[in-house]
Formats: sequence, structure tokens, C-alpha cells
Amino acid sequence: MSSERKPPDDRELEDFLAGKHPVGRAYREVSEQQTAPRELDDAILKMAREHVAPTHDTVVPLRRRPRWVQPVALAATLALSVGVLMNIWRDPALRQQAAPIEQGGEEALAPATSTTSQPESAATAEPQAAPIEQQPPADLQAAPKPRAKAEVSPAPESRRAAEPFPATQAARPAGRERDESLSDSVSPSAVSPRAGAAMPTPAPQAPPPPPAASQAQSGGAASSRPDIDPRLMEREDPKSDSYSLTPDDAAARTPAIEEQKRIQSDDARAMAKEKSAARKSMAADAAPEEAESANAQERDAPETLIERARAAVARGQSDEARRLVAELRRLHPDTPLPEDLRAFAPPAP
Amino acid sequence: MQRWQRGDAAAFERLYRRHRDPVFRYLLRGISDRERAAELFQEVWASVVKSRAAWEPRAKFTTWLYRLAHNRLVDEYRLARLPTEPLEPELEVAAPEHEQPEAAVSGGQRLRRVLRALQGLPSEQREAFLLKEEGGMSLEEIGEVTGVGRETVKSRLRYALAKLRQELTDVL
Repeated sequence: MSSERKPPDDRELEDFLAGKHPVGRAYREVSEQQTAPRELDDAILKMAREHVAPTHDTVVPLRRRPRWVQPVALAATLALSVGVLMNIWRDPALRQQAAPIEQGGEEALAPATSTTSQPESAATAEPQAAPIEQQPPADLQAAPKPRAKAEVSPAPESRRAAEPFPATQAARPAGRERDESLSDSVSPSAVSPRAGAAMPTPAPQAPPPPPAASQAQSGGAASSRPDIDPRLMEREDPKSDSYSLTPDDAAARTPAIEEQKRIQSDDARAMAKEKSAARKSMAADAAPEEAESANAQERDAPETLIERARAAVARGQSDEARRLVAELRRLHPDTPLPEDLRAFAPPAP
Repeated sequence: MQRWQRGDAAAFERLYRRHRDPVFRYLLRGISDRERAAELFQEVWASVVKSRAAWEPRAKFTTWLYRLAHNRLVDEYRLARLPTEPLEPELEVAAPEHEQPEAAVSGGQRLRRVLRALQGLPSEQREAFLLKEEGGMSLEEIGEVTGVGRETVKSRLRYALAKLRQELTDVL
């Protein structure tokens, strides 16, 4: 319909565009005989190949390089960053190393480091090192001296001298050594959140004892070292070092490891008790009214009153039993009275 | 073209062989000089080779290729001051063959007649016709190559077809 209404020119144009026009057919028939000169082919193709060759060597590698180098570099950077951050976050010693310093706790750190921590840790290091190293006592006596000199940041040599197992130090990996030196260089009392920022009370409550008392305490307090964080002690896992030990060394280390584990568990228990007591005291100080209210509720509970009434009956205190039953009926009228206490119920009005 | 841009020389050869003859005929019909057409043909493909790195697939390769050829023809027209109107007396035959009823139109004669009729068209109409026939382009693509609108292309083609039909009545 629409094509019939179109003028002849439009129909002719449509035929031409569709390839049906006789003029177009005639042109195609005659023009196919004329082709481009073949001698030009070689020149043009050669020019194209020459143009591709140098650019293929120079441009394409430059374009390809960013395609995989940049994403891989970005992914590697992210992976390394996340790994380092996760390690720092998981390692309490590393994570909390800077916390007291940031909070301006260097003043609080110094006395704790010099008085409580160092002598005790040195004292505990001595008996552990003795059966393992089989060293003469002179060496062991010399070991704590460098630690006493280097209080906050001892030199690596002094730290190594104070290590419990210096015989195995040479075979340990560098990272492990760094971790150990870190745990030694930072005072445990300052590192621990219980003794540091989170629980500021232990440091002032436990003033540094006099040297004589400290010596006496260090002799008997080898099994309870409240100033050493058990998490730091856990990092001294002997299993991780077993690959670097000779069989003789491992056998020699076993009693010391057992002793260390026992000390760690004792320490952990002591710390948990301290923490629990501190929480309770803090809760009691913070809300005495709430504690009293809770106690009253517990005292006036129907079960408690029934038990107390039965106990009074058992003791032969009938008046007390009647009073408690009456209290039960008054406070909890819906609670059914047990059979054995009905005799003590007040008469109904 | 994208494969050749990535360094595939064989892709360029395929492109070249596909468009070689139509582009050459488009140029040859534009200037009617085989040697000069061959030179322009080489220049067009040299432009393709040089533009390899800068080429972007915004349009069909065919459109881009014929635009290069069209620009060469326009430059040639300007330099040689070639007439855009059919005023070539040597191409005019003394007596039109269709006025000779007894003449049998052979293949060679038919070729000459068609080419002569094509040469008689104004350059804009001839280009529109050739871009459709050699490049297989649509009205929009012809307008893109020649820089005019779709309706202008239609108008040029209408005039071209009318003249060619009139000239080639006896051979069609």
C-alpha cells in the first residue's frame, strides 16, 4: 500500500538500495572487470607489515604490562597489608606495645619495669635455664645483670643472655627471635591490659616491695607471677621450637617446659581470680542499691521462704515457721502452700 | 581492524583484499585516471596503516575507509580544478548509441556506455552512487562519508538514477 503511493523516484530509489535497480545491476556487471593493479598489493602489504613489526615490539608490551602488573601489584599490596595488620591485631604484645606509650604511660611503665617485673622474670629465668643448659652457676649469675641495665629496651645481646634457652637461639628463625625479644623488652605489667590501661588499680595497690622483700618474694613466687601476662607466656610454646632442638636438648627441656606450663596455668588462674574480684568490687561500689534489691528479691522468693519455713520446722521453731508461712501468704498469695507447712498457716479470717 | 591494531598482520591483509577493488574503482570513477587513481589508492591505504594506533571503533571500518578515499578525491578535485559538472567534450560521443537502433550492444560497448553515463554525472551524485554500489553503504553511511544529511543523499541518488536510466535505456 505505502509503496504504491510513493512517487516513481522513491520506488526507483528503494529498488536501487535493495540492489534490484537495472542501472545498479548493469554497473556491477561491467565494473567487476576492473580491479586494482596487483603490483600495488605487495607494496601496501609490505608497508603494513613494516608498520606492525616495530610497534609490536615496543607498543604492545607497554600496553600489556599494565593489564596484569597493576592488578597483581594492587592485590599483593592489599594481601600483605591485611596480613601484617592481622598479625599485629592477633598478637597482643605487638598490638598493645604502643598503647601505654600513646596514653602517656611511660611514667607508670618505668617503675613497674624496674621493680616488679625484671627481678621476678630474671628469677624465673634462672631455675629454668639451669637444668637445660648445664651451664656453670657463674653464667647464670651473670645473666640477669644485662637485663637490669637495659630496663625498657635492652640491647639484643643482653636479651639473648637472659633468654631461658640461649643454647637454641642460634637455630631459631629471625622472626621468632624478634618476637621473643619484643616480649622481653616490653614490661609484661605494662603490656597486660589488666595491669596497664584497662586495670589501672594493680600498679598503685601493689607498691614496689623493698629489696629484701623482693628477694624473698622472688624466691618463693616462682610459681605465681601476677605481673606476667599469661598470653605472653603462651607465646613461649616449646613445640614451635622443637624442630631446632637436638634430641638431647629436647629431653633436657621437657622438665622445664612442664614447669613453665604449670606456672602459666597458675598465673592464668590467679589473674582470673583477681579479675573476678575486681569486677565484683567494682560492681558493688558502682551500684549497692541494685545489689541490695537483688538480694531482697532473692530472699523473698517463694521457694526461699518455703525452704526457710521447712528449716525452721526442722529446728523446732514453730513461731518462726508460722511467721515465714504468713510472709509467704502475704507476698505470694497465689503460691500453693506445701502439704507439710499447712499446719503452720494462719487461720483464714 | 582491532586484530590488526593488536599486531595481527594477517588481519590487515584480509581487510585489504576485501576492500581493495571497490576502493580502487571508487577512486578510478572519481578521477578517470588509472595512474592517478593508483597513487591515490596507495595513499589511502598508507593512511590506514599510519592510523592503526589512533583508530577507534566508533564507526564501521568501511565508512572510515571510504571517508579517507573521499577526502583524497576532494583534495584531487581542488588541486586539479576538476569540474563537478559533466562538461567533458571528449567523453561525449558524436551520436548516442541508443539512437542507432541497428547497433548491437556488445559487452565492451556496454561497459563504455555505463562508464560514460557515470562520468556524465555531477561528482556529488556520482559519489553517492559509487558509495552505494562499491561500498554497499546505506543512506546514513553515505551521508557520513560525504558530510551531508540523509535527505540530501536521497536527492542526489534520485537524480543520479534518473539520468543513468535515461542515458542507458537501450542497454538496460
